[in-house]
Amino acid sequence: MGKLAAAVVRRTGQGGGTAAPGLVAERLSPAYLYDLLAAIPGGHALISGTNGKTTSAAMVGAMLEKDGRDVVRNISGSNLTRGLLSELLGTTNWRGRLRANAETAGVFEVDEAALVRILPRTRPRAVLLTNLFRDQLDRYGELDAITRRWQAAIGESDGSFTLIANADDPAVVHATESHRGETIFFGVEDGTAGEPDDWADATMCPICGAGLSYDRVNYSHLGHYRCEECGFARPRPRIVARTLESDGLAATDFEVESDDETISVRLPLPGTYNVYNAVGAMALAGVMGVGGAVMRRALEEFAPAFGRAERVQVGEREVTMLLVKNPAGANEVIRSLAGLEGEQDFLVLLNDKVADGEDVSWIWDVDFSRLRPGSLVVGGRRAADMALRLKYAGLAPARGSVTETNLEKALEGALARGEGPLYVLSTYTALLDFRSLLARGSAVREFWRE
Amino acid sequence: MKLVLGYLYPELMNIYADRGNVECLRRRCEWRGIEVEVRAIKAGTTFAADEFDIMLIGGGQDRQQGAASEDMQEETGDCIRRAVEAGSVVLGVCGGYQLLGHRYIDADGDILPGLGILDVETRHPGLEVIRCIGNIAIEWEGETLVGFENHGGRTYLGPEAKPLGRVLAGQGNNARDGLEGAVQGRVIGTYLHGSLLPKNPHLADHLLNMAAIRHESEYELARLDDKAEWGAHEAALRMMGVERRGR
Repeated sequence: MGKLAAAVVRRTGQGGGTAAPGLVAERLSPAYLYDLLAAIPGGHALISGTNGKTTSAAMVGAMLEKDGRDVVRNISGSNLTRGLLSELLGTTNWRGRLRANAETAGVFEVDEAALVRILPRTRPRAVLLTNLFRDQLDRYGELDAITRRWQAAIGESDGSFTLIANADDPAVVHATESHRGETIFFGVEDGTAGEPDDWADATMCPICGAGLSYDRVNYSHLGHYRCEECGFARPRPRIVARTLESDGLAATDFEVESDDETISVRLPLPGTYNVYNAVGAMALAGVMGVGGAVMRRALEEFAPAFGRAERVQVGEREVTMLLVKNPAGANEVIRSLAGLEGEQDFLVLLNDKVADGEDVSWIWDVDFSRLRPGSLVVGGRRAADMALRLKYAGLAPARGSVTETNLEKALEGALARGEGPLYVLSTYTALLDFRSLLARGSAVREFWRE
Repeated sequence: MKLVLGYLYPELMNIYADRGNVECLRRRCEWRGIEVEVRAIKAGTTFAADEFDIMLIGGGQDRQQGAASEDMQEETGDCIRRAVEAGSVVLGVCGGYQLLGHRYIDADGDILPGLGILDVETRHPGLEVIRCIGNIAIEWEGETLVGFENHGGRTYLGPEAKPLGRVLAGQGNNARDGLEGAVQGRVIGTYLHGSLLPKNPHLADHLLNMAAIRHESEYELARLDDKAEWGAHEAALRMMGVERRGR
């Protein structure tokens, strides 16, 4: 039934049909998802957290494939339980049984809320927790509440999986404390000395509530912290990235050190946040039995996931798509852009659909003042809010700025205003719309087929 | 003239991008050639009663709100109350609004004492009761204010406080009486974030005006080009199907 729905939705062109067939199957048999997960012969891993799920999952998938294994994963970033189910249905035969060989492994990203529902009902080989930032407060609620729910869900599960967690995030570390099995921490030894900004998300000790002291901050509340009151502190990570060197938006060089080896990596992605994704993915792939040399090759050939500094050619222009959806992620994207030479042309798209977050106030926590726009076009359902935000950020582009809610006209305006690379900063659903607009000119493949 | 803005508990009460309110007031002073300074007032800070012209406090997560509530019972709280008596303007949003009141009674029945500079009390009806989440428009002094609300607590006004406005779309103070926010002297509390002030420039200028005329009683704020501000205001109204009132 779900399979039929997938075919119908894909054929009728209602988006990619990534979640609808799962919705049908979920209604018919809620336990079916867990039966399918248990049937994956090479085991499966779950990846959760606010930012970096899609990229981390894509990296782990690439490493496993490079290792010669078949991989099942929810490729579209449609990461609710029913999206996951839809993806699994795509790999079942007509009887609803999984088509897989003995080596097939599953890698699934699940959002922060879905992890709590899924974890007690399945037996993954490993669970990777990336980070926790404020994100869509209207949908997910406060950070402390998510941390508590994670901790409870981890405690209720049988602890048979390896937990891989970001040592640099105090909220994540707190959530792991209920785990009965093995925990592998990963981290980044970089950053600047000093304290996090006031608006960083989790700088109170999760145990006793005192302010955390930081030796180093990588970004937002990620860094090397300890509580002077109760002794809660960053655990020593078993796998660590260091000597980070950025090559603009093109690449980041770094070394990864673990118990037995040190690997130099040139990752074709910008930003410290992607180094976290890479080192978390390496820790996870290690648990799944992938060797260091294979991991390195997979990372160096890594193609960006949907909207993660993904480049396409539109006529004469190189267009780089940068998904922004919450302050921590957006600030890191802007930090990468601020490292570029000269002025850039920007198209900034803000939507307020459920998948974007209906509350657009988060844009006021993003430091847009670091951008140096040559031209600026603002679009999306909440273009007027974004235009206002950029006005207060003091951006005054030489080649002018335009607000245009119609996406096609916004793109035309952006293309007409410059000659060099165009950078598109966009929320999730606006980027979907933007991609299908480009696809009509067949500049990109539809994302769910990649 | 120079105005000094105090950002109360930026390390605790910062969850709904209320920095935008601080940024808005700062820019609107700069654009008018009014000298302006923004200072953080973190937990444990003490200051003179005439040090700040305007103080702002935003929303916080439960635990952070608890920490701010505790600190308000110490010296910092006394300083804030003395500043209000001396005529300082205060804007509290969401959790910050709740803490301007007498107390916040959380879902477990625990009491978080507030500053008591607004005659209001907030009670959380229990975690099983749905939060007030969504776009909101209210009528304020014959004009519209727009924003986004996201609160579990229900706020009730005592006789000393007047409502800031009447709900046109959304929930407001308690999702029952159709009232939103509270005003008492120069202290204003509201559930509207978004950020509130940038797309409600008339309210931003109302705060600046109250602060400015304390320095020069005849002071008139210069007019600014607010096309982008009203553009965002009207776009928000259109989404809610509410007509703009006033001007």
